[in-house]
This record gives sequence, structure tokens and C-alpha cells, in this order.
Amino acid sequence: MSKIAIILSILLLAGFLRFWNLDNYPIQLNHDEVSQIYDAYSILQTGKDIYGNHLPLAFLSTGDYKVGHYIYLSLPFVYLFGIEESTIRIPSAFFGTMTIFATFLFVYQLVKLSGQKKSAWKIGIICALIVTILPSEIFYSRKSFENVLGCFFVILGFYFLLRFVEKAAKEWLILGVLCSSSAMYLYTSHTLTVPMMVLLFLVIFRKHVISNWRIYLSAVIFWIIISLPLLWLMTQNQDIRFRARTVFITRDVMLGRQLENSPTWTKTFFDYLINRYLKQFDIVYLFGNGLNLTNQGYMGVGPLLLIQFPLLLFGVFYLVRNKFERRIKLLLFGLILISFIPSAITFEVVSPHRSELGFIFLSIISGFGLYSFLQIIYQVKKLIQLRYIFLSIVFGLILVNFIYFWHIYTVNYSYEKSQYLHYPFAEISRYIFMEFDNFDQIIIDPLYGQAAPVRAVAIHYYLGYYGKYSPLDFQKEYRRDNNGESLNKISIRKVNWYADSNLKNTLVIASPWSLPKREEYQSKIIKTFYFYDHQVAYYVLKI
Amino acid sequence: MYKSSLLLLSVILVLSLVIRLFDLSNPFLTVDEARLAYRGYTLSNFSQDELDRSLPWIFNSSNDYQLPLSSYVSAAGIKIFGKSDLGVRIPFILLGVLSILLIYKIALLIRPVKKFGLFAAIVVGFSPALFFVSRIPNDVILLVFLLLLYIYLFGRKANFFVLLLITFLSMLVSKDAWFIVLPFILVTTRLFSKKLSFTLIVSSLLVILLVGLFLSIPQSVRSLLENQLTIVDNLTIENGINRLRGQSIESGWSSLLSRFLFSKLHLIWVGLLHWLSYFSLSTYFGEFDMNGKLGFASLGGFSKYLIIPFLAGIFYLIKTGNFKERWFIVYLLALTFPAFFSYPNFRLELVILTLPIMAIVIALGLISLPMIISTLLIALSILDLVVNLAFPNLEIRNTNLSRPSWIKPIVRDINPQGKTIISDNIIADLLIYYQWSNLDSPTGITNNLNLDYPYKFHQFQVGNISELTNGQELEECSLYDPKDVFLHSDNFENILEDKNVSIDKSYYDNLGNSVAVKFRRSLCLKSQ
Repeated sequence: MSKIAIILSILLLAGFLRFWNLDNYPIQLNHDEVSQIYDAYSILQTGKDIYGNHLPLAFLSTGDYKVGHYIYLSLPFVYLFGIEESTIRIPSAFFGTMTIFATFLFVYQLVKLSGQKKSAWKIGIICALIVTILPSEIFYSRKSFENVLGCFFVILGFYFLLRFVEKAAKEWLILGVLCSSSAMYLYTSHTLTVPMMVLLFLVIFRKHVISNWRIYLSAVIFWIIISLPLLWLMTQNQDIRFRARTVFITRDVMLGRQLENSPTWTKTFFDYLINRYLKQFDIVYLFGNGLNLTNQGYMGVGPLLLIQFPLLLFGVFYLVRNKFERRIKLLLFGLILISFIPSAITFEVVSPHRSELGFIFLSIISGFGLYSFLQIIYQVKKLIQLRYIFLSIVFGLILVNFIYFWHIYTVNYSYEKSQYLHYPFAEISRYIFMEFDNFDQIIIDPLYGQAAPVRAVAIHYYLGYYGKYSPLDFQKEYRRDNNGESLNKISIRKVNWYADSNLKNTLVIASPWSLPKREEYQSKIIKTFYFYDHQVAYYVLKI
Repeated sequence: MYKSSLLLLSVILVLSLVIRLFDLSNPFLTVDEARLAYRGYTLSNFSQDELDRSLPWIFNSSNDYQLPLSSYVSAAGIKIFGKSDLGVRIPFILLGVLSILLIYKIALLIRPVKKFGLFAAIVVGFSPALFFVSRIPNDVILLVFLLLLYIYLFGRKANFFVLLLITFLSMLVSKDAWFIVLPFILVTTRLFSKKLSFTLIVSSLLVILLVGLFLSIPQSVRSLLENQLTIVDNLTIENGINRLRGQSIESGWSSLLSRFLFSKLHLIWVGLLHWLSYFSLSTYFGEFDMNGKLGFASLGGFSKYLIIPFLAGIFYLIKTGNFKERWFIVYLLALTFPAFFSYPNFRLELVILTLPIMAIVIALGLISLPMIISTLLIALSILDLVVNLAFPNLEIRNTNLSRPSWIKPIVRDINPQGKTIISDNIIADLLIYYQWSNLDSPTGITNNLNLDYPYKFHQFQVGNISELTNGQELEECSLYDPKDVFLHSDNFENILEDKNVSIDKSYYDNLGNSVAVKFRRSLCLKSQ
């Protein structure tokens, strides 16, 4: 099999794992996705978001001021493929697939620079294969998430930078600068980490920098120039600043409690920050249940497969002991350490989507581990006769671990987390517009939940998208005030059964959390909507 | 060189002792530590435990049976220094300091470089978690000391019977030792390149004997299932397996494959992950114990600055470490081995056992770094601990419930001669604090309980002091019988029928919240 055929096979596998049944897994668009696709549709139709803001840089969306890059990037896809559910996931799945190729190039160049030209290709392929089946990479590639795009550009950017170190042709450096700065624009976490990573690169390759200082200086100036608009946005755009403030670690309640009356404020803050950073490397989180796909404690899936843990240890051992160039080791380990910073400085204990780049780099190390393991099997004479047994065991374990992840992702995730996927709302929205003309008023209750009531924040987006509502009409008819939200005759507000039961010709869609004893409304139920695990989500009551 | 290293070691030991003796009222004792302290007092003075039993070998605690050694060790301290903070803490402080000396000696057995030994000693001496547990009466520092002593004496080819005695004593410290001791001996034997010896066989027999003896007492199986073997009895795993498998079958996956993916084998998966969870960087270098029971709530097992030499130590081990240095790491697995069975409980006691091993790795890192950086990191790590000691407020606030130092004025106000009613929702086991803190408290004599093997036994009455438990109410006594009544501030109005009580005193916790009120009335427990 030729080298190109092998790479293509891996990319085909990666594409299959990321594009197969893209509109069904996850089972429906979540609140972020539905808001992105409907805003993209609205921009395409009217040049404004659904709230009527003209080409915003940060979208109000569900109140979280989403940075608009992904939405704008998905416009051509929406234009080409229409507003199918999978359309919004296509950019992510595409760049997720391409990340595999970028990983191959990056690792190949890394090993080649280390003076191990012979093994560069093999290690590159193994690492690409490991990232192909990486749970977090598949998970985020199959939902519309800009982190996947950012990761692609960071990895590709570093490949170009390493190419420049190998052959000081300035086009590689320009490509490196363009890719790394694109990553900064695409994903806020990378806005923070890419400058650190580039600085690390410059320090590690300082001899090369000094000997080519003119080219590097112009590249840095070029990089600053193209990053200036971003800097301006980050500091001047109030919506983006609001978004940054709301996710920063200072919003952490636990930290707030510790800082309250602390006599050593700086030390307390620093201690907390360090502890938070170290939590990113928790083994159960990384290999056990960090993707939060189930509610069954340790029985879940981490961003990395459990089998990658021993491979990671092997990889570290191999990298440290072998005659790899020190600069390459430092770069790889340094990139890992920097990748986990964004997750550590936000209000959540861990946020895997902000650490995706770190998971890819860790997987690269585990790829090195698999390579070293294979080397041992093939090089130690005593093991040669047993190599097929060893190979079967290792690849068997990898396969079983992957099937376990795939099962959890395609089956159990839908059952266990249907609330987080806003599962009933697509069906409810379609139903509302089916019954739209039969009622004077339709009320939908935003409180819902499997274990406890939570407030749904994107019902209006579901109504707009699944109701095929024209964005122009939506902008005109959508209202929001202290009593709730409304769209035409649809009200999204808390249900007060004792008052609402006196209304006339009204359709009330309420969750059991907002209703009194069942006997009091039993006769009014005309339909029930369920969560994916068959728990009641909403009753439809005809009044 | 020899003299200077001896001098430096002495300085480390003296400094470690001095900071361990600093402000002995902190950390305030937890309920179980107070029980251990009071038991030390009754054992040393009356040869009875707090429940009137003569020199027993199994004791009571909040969550489990307690093995005897730490109780008798605290009794020794109290016998010499009296019923005081110093008396109860000094044996454990000394064990902590001796552990520093032992790690120095062990380090030299692994790598005969004085600087390495000194670094290891200093890292152990100023490890916040080891510092913490050597200032409170507890099992774990005793076990750390005995295990280190075993390694050192084994390395020095000590007499078989001495080693056997240490093994036996270790197994009288905590049940964890029963699980650890055999893998521990295996690792030690291999470390010093000895063949599997007679020691292992006799130690195995000892384990069997002790476990057999333990199993002969009532509630022993329950004690094991509730504390050491929680994974066996854990319903959440079984429910999880059934749930995931059910979803799989409902979705059309083959029943065979569903059974293969979600079966009882998950116990191994969960146990393994739980075991691995003990090797958490954030526990070692971030936050050791957020409840403040076995470590500072805001510091790790080691200072955060030592993560640099730790990583350097790992790289050093991989790159150039010798057999002994590398094999020493295997202790980490041997000492945390019981974690496999204890899901979902995270037993910090096991992590503490690994701290001296981690200290060796850190020391390896320190000798591989430039001296100036190593010195700077050591200085910063000591400063980290000193700042925490100098500003205990944050720690006191964080441990408001687990180490309720605010209880002192309440127990001081209890009149041993009069009658008293205390609500149990002020703090659990308040009576044991009273018995330990109050010099005039009744002796070990309680109420002729006749308990042979008290398991998680809770005392409701000591002398004239009665505890008002959840759900009980008070009423006016039929005959005038005034008592001092201590009730929780939040619910004293619910307990009393007559709301017009004049409060004599209010008590506040470390967060400034009102926790209890005291008044004097002729009140009796309402008959149900």
C-alpha cells in the first residue's frame, strides 16, 4: 500500500467517523447549534441576526454573546446545503477530519526535525490514527464548535513554523503566521494560548530566530498587524468583553468564598488557580468520564480513551529516553502545558472544549507510545515469536475501548443527556406550528428537566428554526419583556395553572414541574412529549 | 562534608520540631481525634476506654471500628504530659519528626549522596500534609513511621523478628495495613534485591490471623464493606451497568454485545480508575483535603512550587535513574492498592502514605536542577507553609464544621455539677468534646453501657448531660428541675412550646453565624 493510500485511508476513516449520520448523532441540534444555524440563516436572508442587529461581531444568541466566527464561517454551507440540521455541523466535521491530516504533517515534521527521518512517517501515521479515534475529537467534530477549527489551524500553523525551521523559506513562516492568527480569531481560548505558544516556539528555537532575525522580525510585525483588529475587538467590543467576564475564574463561587476576608488575597487566588490548573490533568477526567456523556459516575468516556493511559506513559518514556532533539521535546511538552491554561482560568472546574488542543497533543504522545511499543515487539528477539499475540491484545484493547466509546456516544448519550440536548424542543416546535391555526394563543413553559427543573434558554430559536419561520418576520414579531418572550401568538413564559386554566381556546405546553397534582389537569391532556429516556418532558393541555 | 550534612540534618529536624510545636491549639481536633484524645486520657488514668471497657483491642469511632495502636500511643503522651494539647499531640509530632530522619536514611540507602538525603528530609519535613498529620492524633502518621522504619531496617538487614514486630504493629494501626502489608513487603524485598523470604510467609500468616480474629467479632463484615470494600456493595455501579445495558438493548444493539460491554467486569474498570484517581497532581500539589481533616484546605500534599522538581525527578528517573530509584516508585502502587476496592470513597490516608515516596522523586528532581533553583524552590515551599501558619484564619473558616474550634466556649460553659441538655444539631458528638476539653469532666465512667464491640456507637448521655436528638422535643418538667439548655439557634423555637425564653448567652461559629443559645429552665425531654 502506498504512503498516499495509507493517508487517504486514515482520512476516509476519520471522515466516516465524523460525517456518518451527522444529523442523527447527536440526536438533535442543541441550543448552541440551533441558535447558530438560525442566526446564520437570518444573516443570509436579512443581513441581521434574529434580534435585528446588523452583522454583529458578537451574537446575543441565548444571552451568552457568542463570538460570531463560526456563524459567519457556516454561511457558505448554509447557502450551499440549505438549513438542514447537519449543515451547521459540516464545517466542524470537515475541519475535524482535516485536523487528522494536520496532525500527521505536524508529527512528521517534528520527528524529522529531531533527526529521526526514518521513523517520521510511521510515527506521523500512528499519531494521526490515534487522533482519528480520539473521543473528544470525534465528539466536538460532530457538533458545531469553533474549537475544532481553531485546533486545525494551530496544528497546521506549527507545522508551517517547523517547516520554516527546517528550510528557512519565508513562505512557510507567512503560512505559519496566517494559520496561527486565524486560530486566534476563531476561538477565544486560542486567542490566549497561541501568543504563548508562539513565544515558546521563539524561545526554544532562539538560535534559529537569531540567525534569521530579519525574517522573524517582519513575521512578528506582520502577526501583530493582523492581530490588531482582534485586540481591538477584545478590548473595545462590550459584548465580547461581557462574554469574557462571565466565563472568567473570578465568577467561581468557591473562589469567591475563599477570597472573602482572606488576609492573603493574592496567595489564596494563586493557590486556587494552580489547583484548578492541576485538576485539568486528573486521570479520571482525562480517561474516565471527562466528556460527561452519561450520569453513571466512572462509567462514561473521557476525552481520551482509557487505553491511551498506558500508551501515554510509554510515549513519555520513549520521548525522554530516546535521542530526540531536546528542542522538540520541550516544544511538545510545552504545547501541552499551555493548552490546558484556558480551561483552568474559567469558572468551571474543567471545560473539555477549551482543552481540545491539549487532548490532541496528549494523543500525539500516546501515538509515540504505541510506536515505541510496536518497536519493542519487533526488535526484541524474545518477543518476535509472540508478536502476533501482543499485537492482537493491544489492537484488540484499542478496538474494544473505541467500540465502548462509540456505543456510549451513539446510544447512551442520547438517553442520559437528552435534557442537555434540549431533546423535546424540535418535536414540540414542529407540533406547535401544526396546531398553530387551531388556537388563539399558545403558551410554552420554559421550565423543564429530567432530575430537576432548569430553564430552557433557546426555545425561540427552536420555534424559529423548526417552525421554518421567516427570519424577517421573526425579527419583527419576536418580543421579550419581564413577563417572558413572545412570537406571534406563542408565549414563552412560566405556566401558572390556576390562572391559565381559565383562558379560552389556548394550547398550554407545560412540564410536570410547573403543574399541580395530575388529577387537576388530567382531562385536559391531549398529548405528551417525552425525553429520550421516556420520562415525561411536557404535557400538551387544551383549554 | 559529613559534619556539615549532619549539621544541616539537625537543623532540619530541629526546625521541623519547632514548627510542629508552634500554636498547638491549631488545628482544632475533629470528633474522632477528640475521641482518641479523651480515650488516651481514660486509658492512661483508668486503664479503660471512653466506654468503660478495660484495655480493649478494638475501639469505637464515627465511621468504623478503630484498631488499637494509636489509642495507646496517645495514652502514652497523656500519661507523660497530662490532659492537654501537648500531651495528646506530642507522640504524633515525634513520630512525624522521626519519619524525617528515616526518609533521610532511606534516601541514602537508595542513592548514597548526602545532598539527596537532605533534600528528601527537607521535603518530608515541610510537606504541608505530613506536617498537618503529625500535629493531630491519628493512625496515618503512625503507619507512615512504621512503614518507613520497616524499609530502613530491611535495607540495613535487621533481625527477622524486629521486622516481624514492625509488621505486626503496622497491622494494629489500621485495616488499610492489612491490604498493604504483603505488596509492601514484596516491593521492599525486591528493592534490596533479596529473594522472597520467610518474612513474607510469616507476614501472610499474621495477616490471616488478624483478619480471622477480626472476622470473629460482630459487625466485622459490615465494617469492611462500609469502609475498605465499598466497591463490592456499591449499588450505583450495578444500577449503572443495568441502565446502560438496558439502553443498549432497547436501541437494537445485540444483547450479547451489550452484555459484553456492560457487565460486572465494569467493577474492574471502576476500581482501576478509582485507584488511578489517587495519583492526582492537584491532590499532591494543589488542594490536599478541602475538608481540612487530613491536610490544609488550601495547600497540597506538597507546596505547589515543588511540582517543578517533581517533574524534573520523573524525567531524571526515566532518563538516568538506577534500579533502586526506579523501583522505589512501585511503592506508590503498593501503598494505594486498597483504593481499588474503596470506590467511591477517596481515602486520603492512602495518599499520605505515598507522600514520602513522592518526596524521594522530588528530591531526585532537586539534585538534578541547578543548586540555586533548588534552594529557591525549597525556600518558597517553606514560605508557603509558614504563611499558612501565620494566617490561620482562612483555614479556620474553611474547616468551620470539621474542626469546630468555636465549640470551646460552649463546652466551657457546661457545668459538670449541674444538669444539662444539649441539642445534637449544634455539632455531632458534642459530648466527646466536652469530655476531652473540660478538666472537671467526669472520669471515664459513663453509664455502665456494657458494650463489647461498639461499632459507630454514639453516646447520648454523659453523667448529668443529656443529648437532645433529632425529632425530640422539650416540655416543662412536672417537678421543678432546672437545667442548662443549649439549643441550635435556628430551631430552638420549634423545639420549645413556650417561646418566651430569656436567652443567657449566644454562641457564634468561625464564620460569625449564630450557632447556639444557652438558657436555664426547668425542662425535660418530652415523652413520645
